[in-house]
Amino acid sequence: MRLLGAQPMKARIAFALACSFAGAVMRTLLALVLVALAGCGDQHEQEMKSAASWSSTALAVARYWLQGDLPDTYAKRVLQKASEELAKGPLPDASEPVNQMIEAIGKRDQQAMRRLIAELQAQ
Amino acid sequence: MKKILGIALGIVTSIGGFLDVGSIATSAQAGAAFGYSLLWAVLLGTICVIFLVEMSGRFSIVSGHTIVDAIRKRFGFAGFIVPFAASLLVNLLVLASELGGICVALQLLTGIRFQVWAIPVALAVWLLLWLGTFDVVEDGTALFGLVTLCFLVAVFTLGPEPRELAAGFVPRLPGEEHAHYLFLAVSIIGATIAPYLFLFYSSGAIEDKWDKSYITPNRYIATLGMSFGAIISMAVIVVAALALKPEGIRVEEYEQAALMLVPAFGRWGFYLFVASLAIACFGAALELSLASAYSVSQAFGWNWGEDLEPRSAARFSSAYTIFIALAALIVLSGLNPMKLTLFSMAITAVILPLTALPFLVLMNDARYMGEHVNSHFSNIVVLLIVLLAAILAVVAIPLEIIGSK
Amino acid sequence: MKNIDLVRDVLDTQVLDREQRPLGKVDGIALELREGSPPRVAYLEVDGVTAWRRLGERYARWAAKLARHWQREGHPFRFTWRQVRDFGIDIEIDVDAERAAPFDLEHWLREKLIRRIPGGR
Repeated sequence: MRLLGAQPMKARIAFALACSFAGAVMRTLLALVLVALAGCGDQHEQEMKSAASWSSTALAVARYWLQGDLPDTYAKRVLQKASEELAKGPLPDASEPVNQMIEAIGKRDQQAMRRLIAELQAQ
Repeated sequence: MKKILGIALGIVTSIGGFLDVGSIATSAQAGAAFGYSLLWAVLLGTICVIFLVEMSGRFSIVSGHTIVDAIRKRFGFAGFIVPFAASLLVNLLVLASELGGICVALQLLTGIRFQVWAIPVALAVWLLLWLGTFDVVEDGTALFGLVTLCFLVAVFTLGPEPRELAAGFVPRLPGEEHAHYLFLAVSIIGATIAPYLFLFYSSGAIEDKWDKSYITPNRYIATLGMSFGAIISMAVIVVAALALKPEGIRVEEYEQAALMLVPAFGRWGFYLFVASLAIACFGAALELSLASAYSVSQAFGWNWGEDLEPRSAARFSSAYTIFIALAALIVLSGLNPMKLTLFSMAITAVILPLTALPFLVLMNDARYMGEHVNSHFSNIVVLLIVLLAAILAVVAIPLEIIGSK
Repeated sequence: MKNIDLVRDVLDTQVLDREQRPLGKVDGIALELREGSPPRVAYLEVDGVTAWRRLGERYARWAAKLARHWQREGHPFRFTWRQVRDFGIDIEIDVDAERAAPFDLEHWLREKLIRRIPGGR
């Protein structure tokens, strides 16, 4: 049975660091568990976050597409998905400009896309 | 000289093979939602996996057994059957996630729905195992897997603030969404410490006939290989934090994750992401299928080995064939690939102790390890991390399910 | 005289044939009880059903039902200590794996599956 005291200096330092790291991890995660158990998440807040995220996604896709950084197939597909998700959520009005964005890609209409970006951002 | 080359190859294999659908999905979500603040989870998982992989190699070298073979021998058929069945089930879910990842990559590229790709992709994975050899599989995975280095390049291009980065390595409570944070932390750990990794490593050590002269090279391969691989995982978090979070984009679907390399690479960014996803998942799918077939064969004492032609090892070959077929069915069922991946990773964390603890017992059994038994330090590190991950997973999974209803 | 722990070192140990090929695992050990003498190892068994029986009779029945598809004669496969050539990490016995009963599943799969699929050679 090897006692820790018999270990070289390096090992002891490493062990001490590991313990502090482990301690920090334990404390954080235990705290998380307690807090998480306490408040099980606001449903409406989640939906808002999701909607905001999809709206931001559409904006980013539109911008990147204008720069020529995204292939049409993929851009249309993501916008389609964004539109579906937005229509389901608390910001259904946002799905309309997104639908029009899809059309703009189909027609390669950059001006329309710029207009739609501004429109979506305003929402 | 040969040893150095061997070490180098081992490290490269580990890098290329480290990233898989689990790492990509969890890291992308983590970076987009919480910035750098989950980097510590990757670090924690990596420390644990380095220990496990090194132990796995050392075990096979010294004892001459593979881990599965030895667990059955040490604990008896009855004692080992439950962990064994559980790990196979989890492997199946993860394999389905990996196949799903390849299918999603193809969907991103072509617009054709991912389910359509399930059978062709499964066939491709199977064909490579049927016709290939262990070296081809390993080396191919390693070489092509290097494409994932693009995430590292992207980090340098985007230039994160070092001090902010460093803060991510200290575990800290986020401002909100604690349940989701916990769930992601657990999933990241599960994605990093995948049991199939160290079980596969043990089989590989036996198949490559490692002798005692490999004990030190094994340490280097385990440490450096897993570390470099982990750096790529962390790079995904950082890139997501820099490219997606500021835009307010959260990663709820792979379509959103695909945007993350665009700021760094422009037009190439999208294709690099798709390629990385497809290749990383393909390599992982190969490894996972083999690992599962190895497990079954070693458990029942069948002849096994990738270098054997299917006709010489019919049971082994049938095992991975059936496995891949079942996984393909899961993908075909249309289950959301992102959700399947995240839950598989969390469940991996739950099951981890069932495999890791018996393994730890073996590592301390002098009859198998001789003078190379584990140090107290190794035991404590692995024990702590594995138990921690499992307890957290048990808490986090129900919370996440409740939260996403 | 060297003592061997049957459960620890023999049970569930990998069995190899005379060409060092895997034959199976020691799934069961049978002891012969004798009047006035200590029990003796009668034979060692390599059979999947035997292994499942250790979990319970119900599992053994299920396994037997399944195994009937490919098992021919010679089940359960038994060997005596006299056939043991080497005993260490694995148990090597003087038998040809390809011809031994545990390989029935292997042969059956070769026929049904592997031969039907190209590339299996």
